[in-house]
Amino acid sequence: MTQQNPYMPMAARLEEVIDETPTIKTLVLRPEEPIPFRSGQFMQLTYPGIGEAPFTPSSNPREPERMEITILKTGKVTDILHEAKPGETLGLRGPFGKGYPLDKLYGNEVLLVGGGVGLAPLRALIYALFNEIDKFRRVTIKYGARSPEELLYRRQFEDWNKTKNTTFAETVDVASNGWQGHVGVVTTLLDGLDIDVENAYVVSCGPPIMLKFVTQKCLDLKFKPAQIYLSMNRKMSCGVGICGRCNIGPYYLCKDGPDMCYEEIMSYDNVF
Amino acid sequence: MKSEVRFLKKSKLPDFVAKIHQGPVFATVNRDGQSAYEKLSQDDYGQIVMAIAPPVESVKTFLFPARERVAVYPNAGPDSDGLSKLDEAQTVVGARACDLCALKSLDKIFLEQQVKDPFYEKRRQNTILITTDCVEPKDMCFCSLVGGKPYPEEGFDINISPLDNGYLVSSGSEKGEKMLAQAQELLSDPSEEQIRQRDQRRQQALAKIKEQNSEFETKVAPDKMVGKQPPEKWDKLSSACVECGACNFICPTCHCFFLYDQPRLESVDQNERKKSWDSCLLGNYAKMAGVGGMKPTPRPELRTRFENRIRHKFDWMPENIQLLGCVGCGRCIEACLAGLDIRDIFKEFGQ
Repeated sequence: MTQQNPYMPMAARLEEVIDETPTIKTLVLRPEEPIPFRSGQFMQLTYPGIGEAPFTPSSNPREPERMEITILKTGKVTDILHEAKPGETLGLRGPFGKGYPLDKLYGNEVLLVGGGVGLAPLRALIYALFNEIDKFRRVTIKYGARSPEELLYRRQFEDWNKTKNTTFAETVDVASNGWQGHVGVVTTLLDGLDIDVENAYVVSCGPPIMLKFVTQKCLDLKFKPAQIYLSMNRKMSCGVGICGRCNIGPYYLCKDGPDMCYEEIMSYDNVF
Repeated sequence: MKSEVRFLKKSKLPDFVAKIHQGPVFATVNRDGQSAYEKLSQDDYGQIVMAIAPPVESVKTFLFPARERVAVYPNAGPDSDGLSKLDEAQTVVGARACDLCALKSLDKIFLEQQVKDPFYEKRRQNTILITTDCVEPKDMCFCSLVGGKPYPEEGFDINISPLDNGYLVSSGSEKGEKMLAQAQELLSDPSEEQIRQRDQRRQQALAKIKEQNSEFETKVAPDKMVGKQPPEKWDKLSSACVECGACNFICPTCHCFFLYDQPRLESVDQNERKKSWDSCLLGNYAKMAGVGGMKPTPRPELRTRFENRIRHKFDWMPENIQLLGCVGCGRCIEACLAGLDIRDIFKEFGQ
């Protein structure tokens, strides 16, 4: 981000486009200058002349010179980003926000619950956790998608499951031909969860309706609101807390989030 | 900053402005019975009116234009096309105490967060503020309800207090001090009677504002009166709202904006980013991308948007920047097509 003008995007070359699912692509970008970021911090990605939209990078924060952004085709900007070809120049502003509360997670169990493209921001966190996996007691990852075809990063599931102190499980809302795995919304993976609730944190990212049910489920499992972090990646614009668009009560998701502790926001309306 | 008070003859106001102004002058004139800012050339300084009701617009417009270009990319620096040039001085004549209160909020928001807004910053530095006492408050003025007074005490470069036959002028900044020195030959020492008249007019204006707002006086401080309220209350308070957004745009502290991009007409290879005022009461405010089932706007119901606006001003701005988001200028009351009166919030929650 240019300090002089927070609204100016930095040029970033699109190096590669990875087809993840029928509706999701990952854009691999090389910004003019490396952009150091913490997992959970977000970027504004510009398609020149069309506009920008907020995304949390899905790549390893240890690789700031090469940023991956995973995008669901779902609107004006994302439709055209899906048409972008390697070699094109896009724009990046950021990083913005606080990022995931890694300092809180140290020494504890970490439960990640992702839904759909919501696994993208969590993947940056997964990399960050794996970068120093011995500092966490255990990492449990639960992931749900609409259908087997929509499972994101499927190629990595096995590696994640094999990683030290880590378990991974996926589910689909609706099975299609040949699916042998779990069927049901992601909260069904939390039934009978083996976790030391008192010494654990939940970090969840997905559509608002999923966040709502995950939160409810976690409260049922006796997690306290202070132990639940929700990725409210949705409506940020300026990124620096002044345009006013992304507030939940007195909080601005762009600078106080986008991952918010449920305890902080639970008393306000329209959280989900 | 304490400064001496000087007397200016009524007929010398145009000369005074000519002497001290920097850059274009935007001053209050009588436009069909309404007080409004106009950009004046030196020949027209005679049209400037000080002893008139507060202007329709606030100072916000001059520092944070309704729309401006904030980026040209790739490979070009900040390049505003707003109402006033970024690097040129401008002089605003006729702003009020409530406007200065609002500027305190805008300063905190645009200049004291983790990143400064360079557009606001430059205009703020380059703007000369010539304010005036409100000697003719409007019926909807209610600065006294939010701890304000109808005359500026700080935050101006020069303040002008209208008297029967002239003005008392005082400086409130180093810039203002220098300007008074420049205009020395137009100024003289005020008499005690003139000072007394200024104070009397100020007290009369304050008394009028207090009187017209007696039914809205609260027992609780305005920043403590709202809080979480049942949905029915917000339904009731917002039921007449037609969602035009006028209250947002006319409000001196409302600062929400959106950014949008477009190809640049002047250059085939470049694009530009614009920043434009936005209204949190509009149904498509902060609309998000999303397929069916995902919430397209953060607050789909009018009552929650209305609640957000009110609580932002009375609860969350005090929490975040320690300043009330309402300065009592009454402009939203004047602008409302549905006849909503923000003072009903005081009645509903503060009494």
